[in-house]
Amino acid sequence: MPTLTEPPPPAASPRAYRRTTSPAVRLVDKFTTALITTGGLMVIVAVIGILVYLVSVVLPLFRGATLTAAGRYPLLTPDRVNQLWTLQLDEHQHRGFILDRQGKLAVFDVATGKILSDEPILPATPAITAFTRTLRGGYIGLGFADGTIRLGRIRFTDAGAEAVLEDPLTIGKKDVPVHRLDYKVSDRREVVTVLKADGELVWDEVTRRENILTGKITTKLAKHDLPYQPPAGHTNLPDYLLQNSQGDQVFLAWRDGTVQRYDLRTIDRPLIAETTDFTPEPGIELTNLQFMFGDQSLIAGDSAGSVTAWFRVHRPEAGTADQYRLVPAHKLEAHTGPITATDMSTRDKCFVTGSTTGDIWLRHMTSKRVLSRVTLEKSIRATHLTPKGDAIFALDSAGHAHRWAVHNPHPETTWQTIFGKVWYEGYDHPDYTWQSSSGNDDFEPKFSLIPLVFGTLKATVYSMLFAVPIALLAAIYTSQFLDKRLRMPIKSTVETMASLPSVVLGFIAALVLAPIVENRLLQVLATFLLIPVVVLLGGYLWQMLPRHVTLRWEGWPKFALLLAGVFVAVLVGRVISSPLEAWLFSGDFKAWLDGRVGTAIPGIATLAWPVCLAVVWYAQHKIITNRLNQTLAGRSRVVVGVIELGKLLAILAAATALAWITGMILTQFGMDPRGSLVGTYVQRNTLVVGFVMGFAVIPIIYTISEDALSSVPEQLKSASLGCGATQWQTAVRVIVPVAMSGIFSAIMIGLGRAVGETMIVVMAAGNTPLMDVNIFNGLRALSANIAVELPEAVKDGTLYRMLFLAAVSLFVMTFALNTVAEIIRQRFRKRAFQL
Amino acid sequence: MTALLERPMKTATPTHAAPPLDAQTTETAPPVPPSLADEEMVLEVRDFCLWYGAKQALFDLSLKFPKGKVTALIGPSGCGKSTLIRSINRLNDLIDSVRYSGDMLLNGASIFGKTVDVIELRKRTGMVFQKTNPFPMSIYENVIYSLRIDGENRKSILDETVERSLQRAALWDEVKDRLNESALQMSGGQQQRLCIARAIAAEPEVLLMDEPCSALDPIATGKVEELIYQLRGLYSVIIVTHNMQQAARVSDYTAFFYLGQLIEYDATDKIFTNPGKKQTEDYVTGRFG
Ligand SMILES: Nc1ncnc2c1ncn2[C@@H]1O[C@H](COP(=O)(O)OP(=O)(O)O)[C@@H](O)[C@H]1O
Ligand SMILES: [Mg+2]
Repeated sequence: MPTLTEPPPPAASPRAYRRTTSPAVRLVDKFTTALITTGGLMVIVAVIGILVYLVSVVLPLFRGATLTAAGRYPLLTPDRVNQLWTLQLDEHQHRGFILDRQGKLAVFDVATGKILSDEPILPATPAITAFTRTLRGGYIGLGFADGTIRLGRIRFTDAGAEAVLEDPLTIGKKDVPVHRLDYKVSDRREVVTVLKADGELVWDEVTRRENILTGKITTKLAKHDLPYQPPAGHTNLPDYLLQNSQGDQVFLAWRDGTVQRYDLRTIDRPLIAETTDFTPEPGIELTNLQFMFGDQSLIAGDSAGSVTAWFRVHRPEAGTADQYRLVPAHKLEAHTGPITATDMSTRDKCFVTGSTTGDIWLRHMTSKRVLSRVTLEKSIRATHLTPKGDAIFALDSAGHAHRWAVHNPHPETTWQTIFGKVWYEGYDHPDYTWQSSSGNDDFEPKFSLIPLVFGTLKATVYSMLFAVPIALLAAIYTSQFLDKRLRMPIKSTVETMASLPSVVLGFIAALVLAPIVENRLLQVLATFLLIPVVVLLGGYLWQMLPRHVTLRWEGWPKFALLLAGVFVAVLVGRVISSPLEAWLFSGDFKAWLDGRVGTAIPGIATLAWPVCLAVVWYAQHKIITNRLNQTLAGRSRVVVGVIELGKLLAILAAATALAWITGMILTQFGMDPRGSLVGTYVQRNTLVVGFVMGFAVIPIIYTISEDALSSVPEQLKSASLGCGATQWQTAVRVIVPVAMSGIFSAIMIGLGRAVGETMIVVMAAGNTPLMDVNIFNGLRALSANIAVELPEAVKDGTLYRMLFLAAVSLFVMTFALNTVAEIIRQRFRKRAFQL
Repeated sequence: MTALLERPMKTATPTHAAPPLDAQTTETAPPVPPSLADEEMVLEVRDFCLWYGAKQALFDLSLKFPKGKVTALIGPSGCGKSTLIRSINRLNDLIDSVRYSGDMLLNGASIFGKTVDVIELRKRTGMVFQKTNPFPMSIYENVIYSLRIDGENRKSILDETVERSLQRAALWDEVKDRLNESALQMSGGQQQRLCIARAIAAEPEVLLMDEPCSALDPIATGKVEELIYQLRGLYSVIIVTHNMQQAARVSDYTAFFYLGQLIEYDATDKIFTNPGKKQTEDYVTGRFG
C-alpha cells in the first residue's frame, strides 16, 4: 500500500499560502454538511414514521379474532346436556343459566361452574313441547302439550336469574299440543306464531292492557290463521318455525332442507311466497336454522358442516308470489362434521358455530371470514357468544363447559369487504358501499373504500377537464404572446389566486355558485360552449380587418375586443338558453335530465359534438386544405378571410349535423346518456366541484407550465419564427413539445392537489358516497370522508381505523400518481433536453 | 481615422433622435463598392438605423447584397452584425424595445413597410443561428418544418424537399438511412448542417447565417465552411463571422462594421489583402477586435 505523505509545508510566498483552505472554512463546510444531512435524514425519517404509524393503525383491521382459554369445568350430566332449551351468560360473565326441556332453570357461577340454584320454573304438567327465545332481551315463549303457550322473560338478577311467565294463552284447539312457536319482541310490536300438532298455523299480534283499578295486565292475542300447505312429500310437521321481528316473514323448514316462506306484509292476505331447498345436495340435512342478528338473514347449518347465510332479495323475474326470493348470499367455510350448535352475536354479524367434530369457530357472516377457531375432543352441544361478544361459552357432549375470552375488535373488515363487492342484507346484488353509521342499532356498517376512491377520481377528472385547458392556454398565452412587461404582473396575480384558502372557495361554491348553476344550468353550459366559438369567430373576423387597422389595434384594443367577445358569448348564452331549452329539452332541462321528458338525441348530439368537430376538422384538413391554400394563394386578405370564415361556419354546421345524426342513430339503438354521463340534477354536484376545484388548481398548473414554457431555449423559438412560423405554430409545434416534461409535471402536481383537496369537496360535493359518473350528481371523496367522519369515529374503533386506511389509500394514490408522473416526465425530459 | 476612433465617445451618450446624418454618411463606405458594380442585387439596405430602447445599435447603414454570392459581415463583438442580420427577417421585432428607421428591400419589396406581412417575409428568408438549434423532432420533420407550417402534407413533395435540401446541405449520405431518428442524436456539425438544410428547404431568397461555426469544432467547421462555399450560386448568403480566415475562405464580398457603422465593404480579397481603411487593416490583421 502506498503510504500517504504529508503535503509539503506551505511555501513562504503568499500565493502558495492561499492554496490551503483555512480551518474555519473547513469547519463551516463540515458543519453545514452535517446539518444538511441530518435535516434531510430527518425529513425522510419523519415521512417514513408517518407512514409506519398510519399502517400500524390500519393493520389490526385485517387481523382476525383471538380466543384465550378462560376455564373449563364439568357443568351438567351428559344426559342433561342433550336436553337443553337454552344457555345464557350475563354480560359481565358473572352468572349463567341453562334451561332444560323439563323446565328446570339451573343458575351457575361462570368462573367456577358451581350450580347456585336448580329450580323448575313451572309445574311439571303439562309438558313443554316447544320453546323459543329472543336474541336480545331474554324474552321466551313456551308451548305445551295441552295446546297453550306462555310468554315471559328470563332475566339475570343479583341472586342469579329469575323467570317471569305470564298466564297461559290457548291457541287453536284445546289439548292439541303446540309443535313449534316463535316469539318476537320489537319496539313496535310483539308477535308470536304458533304451529300446532294438527297443522294449525296461527300468527298472533300480542297486545296488553292494564286495568287501572287493579293494576293487572291482561294479554290479548289478535289471531290470524295462516294456510298450512306443506310441500309435496312432506307429511311430517316442519322442524323449524321462524319469524322475523317485524312479523311479516314466517319460515317453515324441514330437516331435508325444504324451506317455505310466508309473506305477511298484508296480514289479511297471507301468501306462501316461495319454497326453496336450503340443502340441495342429496342426503344432506338441515341441522340448524337461526336468524342472524337483525332478523334479515337465516344462518343454515347442515349435516355436511356447511354454513350458509340466506336472505331475501327483490327478484321480480323469479316468479315468486311477492317478487322476492331467498338467495344463498354467503356460503361460509364448512366444518368437517354436522353443525350442532350456533349462537348469534347480539351486536353485529358475528356468530359461533359448533360441530360434532368438536370445532368451535367464530365467524362473521358478511365478510365470510372465520375469525378464530378452537377444537375440542367431544362433539359440541351448545355454544354461546356473550352479550358483549367478549367470550365464547360452549358445552360439549360430556357436559363439560369451556370458556374463552374473545378479542375481536374488527370482525367485518377484510381486503374483500374494503376493496371488493360485498353483498349486504337487503341489497339486490353485491356492491361497493360506504355507509359507516345509521340510526338503528342493528345496522351493519359498510366499509368499502371504492366509492370514495371513485369520488376522488371523479372530482379530479372533472376538475382537471376544466382546469387543464384553461391553465395551459393561459400559460401559453402569457409566455409566448403577451407583452414581456405584462408577463410578471399577470403571473403574480394568478399566483396569488393560489393563496385563496380552499375553504373560501368551497364556501363560494356551495353558497353562491351552486344556486346560480342550479337556476341557470342550461345558460351556464351554453355559455361554456359559446365562449370558445365566439372567440374563434372573433379571430377570423380580426383577420379580415384591413392590415393598418389591425396594426393600430394590436395592444389594448385587441384585448378589450377579446373581453367583449366573452361578454357577447355570455349575452348570447343568456338569450338563447330558454329557446334552446324549449326546443331541445321540451322546455325543462332538469326534467329532461331526469328522463321524464324528451328524447336522447340532444344529449348524445351535445356529447358527441366535440368529437364530431374533431372528425370534420380532420377530414377537411386532409381533403381540402391543400387545394384551398393553392386557390387562395395570392388573393387579398379580406377575400381569404371571408372564405376562411365561411369554411369555419361550414365546419361548425357540418359538425352539428353529424352530431345530430349520430344522436339519431344511437337513439335508435336505445342509447341514452341520461343515467350515465348525465342524469338527475342534484344541487351539490360534480359540475360545481369541477369549476371550483378547477379554479383552485389552475394557478399551480399555470405557474409551473408557464415557467416550463418560458424556459424553452430562445434559439428554438427564433429558429421556428425564422422559418416563417406564426407564434401560435411556434408555440404548438416547438415550444409546447419541448416544455412537455414541465407541463406534464404541472398537470401532475395539479392532479395531486385535486386528489388531496378536501374543503371544496366537503362543502360543494354533497358527500354522497355514490358510484355514479353523472356530472350532475354529487360524490364523496376520500379526503372529504376523513374530514366529515373523523369527529364521529371512536378512537381505535373500526371506523377510526378505516379512516386511517382511507388516508393510507390517499397517500398511495398520490404516491403512485407522482411516481408515474416522474417516470413519464423523465421520458419527456430525455427527449427534449438533449439540446 | 481620428474621427472614426472618436465615435464611441459620441455614442456613449444615448441619442434619442436620429443620429447626425451628415457626419456619418461622409465617413461610411458607399452602399455598392466598385467591385460589386456588375452584380445583380438581392437585398438593399437603405439608411437603416436601429435602437434598443435609448441605445442606438445601428447607424444609418446603406449597402446592397449581391445575388447568388456569399457576403461576410465582420467586425468586433458588439458592433451590430447580429442586429443587422436579425433585422433582415425582422426577428428583432420580438424585442419590445426595438425601434428602427430607414428600410430594406428584399428583391425590391420593402421589409419594414407598414403593410408587410412579417410571416411571409420570414418565409422568403432562411436563417442559421450561432447556436445549433434543431427542433426536438426527427431529421425528416426538421427539414420540412417550413413546409409543414404552410400545411403542406403531400408525401411526394415532402420527400423530394428532404432529399434535395439534405443533399445541398451535404448531409444526405450521412443521414439518409435514419431520417426518422431524432435530430438531437446527431453531432454538432451535423446538427448545424441540418439547420442549413432546414433553412434552404423553403428556397429562401436570402440565407442569413449568424456565426454558424462558432460553436463547432475545427473539423465540423471545415465541413460547414465547405458547404457554404458550395451554396454560392444557388443561394444568396449573408454570413456573420468573427473569424477572419473563415470570412476569407468562404465569402465573395466582405463588409466590415465597427460600432454600428459600416466602415468598409468590398470584395473579400481586397479587404483582406489591401483594405482601404486603416481600421479595417488593424482589424483583419488582428491588431484589435
Ligand atoms: N436585446 C438587446 N437589447 C439591448 N441591447 C442589445 C440587444 N441585443 C444586442 N444589443 C446591443 O446591440 C449591440 C450590437 O449587438 P450585436 O448585434 O449582438 O453585436 P455582434 O453580433 O456584432 O456581436 C451591442 O452593443 C449589444 O449590447
Ligand atoms: Mg453576434
